[in-house]
Amino acid sequence: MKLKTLLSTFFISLLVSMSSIADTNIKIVIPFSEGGGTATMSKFVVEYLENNGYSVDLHIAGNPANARRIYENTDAPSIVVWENGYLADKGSVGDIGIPTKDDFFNVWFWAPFYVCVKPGHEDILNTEANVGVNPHPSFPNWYLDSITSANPEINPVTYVNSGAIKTALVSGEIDIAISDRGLQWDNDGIVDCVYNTSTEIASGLNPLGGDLGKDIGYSFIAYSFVVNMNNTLKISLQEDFKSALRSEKVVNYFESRDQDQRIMQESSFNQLEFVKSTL
Amino acid sequence: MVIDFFIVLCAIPVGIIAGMMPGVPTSVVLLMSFPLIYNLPFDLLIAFYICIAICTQFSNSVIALYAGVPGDLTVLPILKERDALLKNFSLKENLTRTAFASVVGTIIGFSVLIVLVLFFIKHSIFLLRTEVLFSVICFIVLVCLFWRANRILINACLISIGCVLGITGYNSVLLKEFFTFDSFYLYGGLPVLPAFIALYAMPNLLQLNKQKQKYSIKEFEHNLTNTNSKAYTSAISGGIIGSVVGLIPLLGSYSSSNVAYWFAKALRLSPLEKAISSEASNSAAFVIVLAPLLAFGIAIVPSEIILLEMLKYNGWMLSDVTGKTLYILLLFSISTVIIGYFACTKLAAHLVTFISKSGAWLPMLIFAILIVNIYIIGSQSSNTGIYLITFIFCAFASLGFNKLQIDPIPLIFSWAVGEQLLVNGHRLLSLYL
Repeated sequence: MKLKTLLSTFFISLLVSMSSIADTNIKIVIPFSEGGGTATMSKFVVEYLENNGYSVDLHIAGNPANARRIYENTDAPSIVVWENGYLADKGSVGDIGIPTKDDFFNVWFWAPFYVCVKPGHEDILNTEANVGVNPHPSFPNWYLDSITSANPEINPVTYVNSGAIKTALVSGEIDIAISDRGLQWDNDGIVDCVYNTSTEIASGLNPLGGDLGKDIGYSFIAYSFVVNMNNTLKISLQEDFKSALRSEKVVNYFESRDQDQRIMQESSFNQLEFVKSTL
Repeated sequence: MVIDFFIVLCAIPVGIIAGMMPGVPTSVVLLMSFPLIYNLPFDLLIAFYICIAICTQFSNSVIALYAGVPGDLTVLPILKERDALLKNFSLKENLTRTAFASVVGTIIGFSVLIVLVLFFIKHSIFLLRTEVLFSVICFIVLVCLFWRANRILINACLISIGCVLGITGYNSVLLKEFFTFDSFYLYGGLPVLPAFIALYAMPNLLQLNKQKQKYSIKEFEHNLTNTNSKAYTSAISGGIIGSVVGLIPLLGSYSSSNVAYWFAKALRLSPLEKAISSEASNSAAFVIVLAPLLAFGIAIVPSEIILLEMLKYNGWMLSDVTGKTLYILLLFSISTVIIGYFACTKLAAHLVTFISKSGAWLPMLIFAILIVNIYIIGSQSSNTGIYLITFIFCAFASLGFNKLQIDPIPLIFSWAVGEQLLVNGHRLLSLYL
């Protein structure tokens, strides 16, 4: 009798725990590669979510096409960390696909880009230099354009992500890098990163009206594209992501300012619809 | 994790059997194993590849000595010396010597691989400069241009077509569309995997049954008084030659055994020494081909295209190559060498009998697995429609190539490196012009 009770209790508790696990077990897919800002930041976010009761399966897919393959072949509640959700472009939409309105949410926050320079190139308005950039839609192209128009000797060179830009900078292939990972490179002693040399330019061209203060650009991190997820979990996750992006590690990593984080699903989805209409 | 290790260990018997079957190269084994291995951790997937590569080279020579059938072009030197070998030594002794040569070749090849990869890891910052990457890719294209199976003009046309297909899609670095014709479906590009299956793997496999019919086991009168004291020297020199020649894109792994054979022939060595030298060179070359892949992320032999595609499926980056990778490769290579040696010396007769008496069912089984896997790979693809269209297009192209006797290797390689050639070439122009 005791054995029966014990077994029944065990199986009931197992079922209960399984259902609770099923509710919080999610898959996060990163459509970018290791070494970039999104992958690094996502690890901090995953750590935060796991500390708050979620069981997270993180996939660094390497590229959007692989990300699509992964989320289309799973039944688990999945989220694609699509960094340029709000600033969607035709290429990304072509690779990732277009989510339905119900399967979409968007959380974003500010994070500064840094200008990392080799000695002798600190004055970026009066130097001849190759500048490594990642032509991602989240990249502050408005800022780069302003520098290149002010200084024709600046030569933009494109790389696939921040990791590749760092390699190019250290190997001497480029003289200046613009990246959201600059703070970490500076802390690691790899290069000197400065972020306030051109605040005047940044302030003059600020596209969204925020106070740029000391950061010269912004990184636009958007979590979007929810797959196979019930509405309760989705709403709960939106808030949890928002909190995760305010976690100490993320804020320290990017020196981001938490007041700028918000959920903006409607405008993001309208942007996607606009891109879709151009296809 | 235990299952993953078990899957990698399964590569050893599979590789040994595949090596005895003409038309089943490493690339076909990888495609057949796709559902089991594509989700393996990076290190284990590379270990799976190296196990297959080592084992196929071990057993290639067995079938060449036993039945006089070339598993691939690398055993041609052994076939040339086969009659002399079987007259001078017993079959068992020949098998032991060639297996020994494979062991020495693999050890030398692996040692050089470790040294090179450690060097690459240490100097990766400078080796991954655009100039270096662009030069390596250009060298591959140049080798494709002079690919001996076709005329240069045909190779040039194949390379051009391959590059166009390779760069098709939206390039997220250059922010430009190439040959998409505003089609949403083409933004993701054209996958190289179905092209590889249709143009390379399937035509190879169709040759399997034709080759199997050539199996002949002859008895030779042999003189057991012959001895050879220079076998170690031949094996070591062959291994060193293989470690160097194997680094040449496309040609290296296939011609290394011939290069070692020519050296041995020039030195007027005995038939056994020539065979040992070529076998050791061959084994070393098939291990050393991993060096450019681990250093630059560039495939230099057809089978590595498959490996690279699988690695990229899960977002592999060069920075994932660490000391742990080398440790795992070392662990599995040692296991493979031990089991391979045992299988090729003690179990050779059973394996050859099994293969030669298998009739048509074994090739049919392999073909059936490949067909099923084409479906599975397609269903895992990011764009199944494009995968299917590419496969059908390439299958028809393959018929044409077969009719015109054109080797599609330059097309496949230029397809695989097309995008990197464009991005690095564009960056080089940005940097220096």
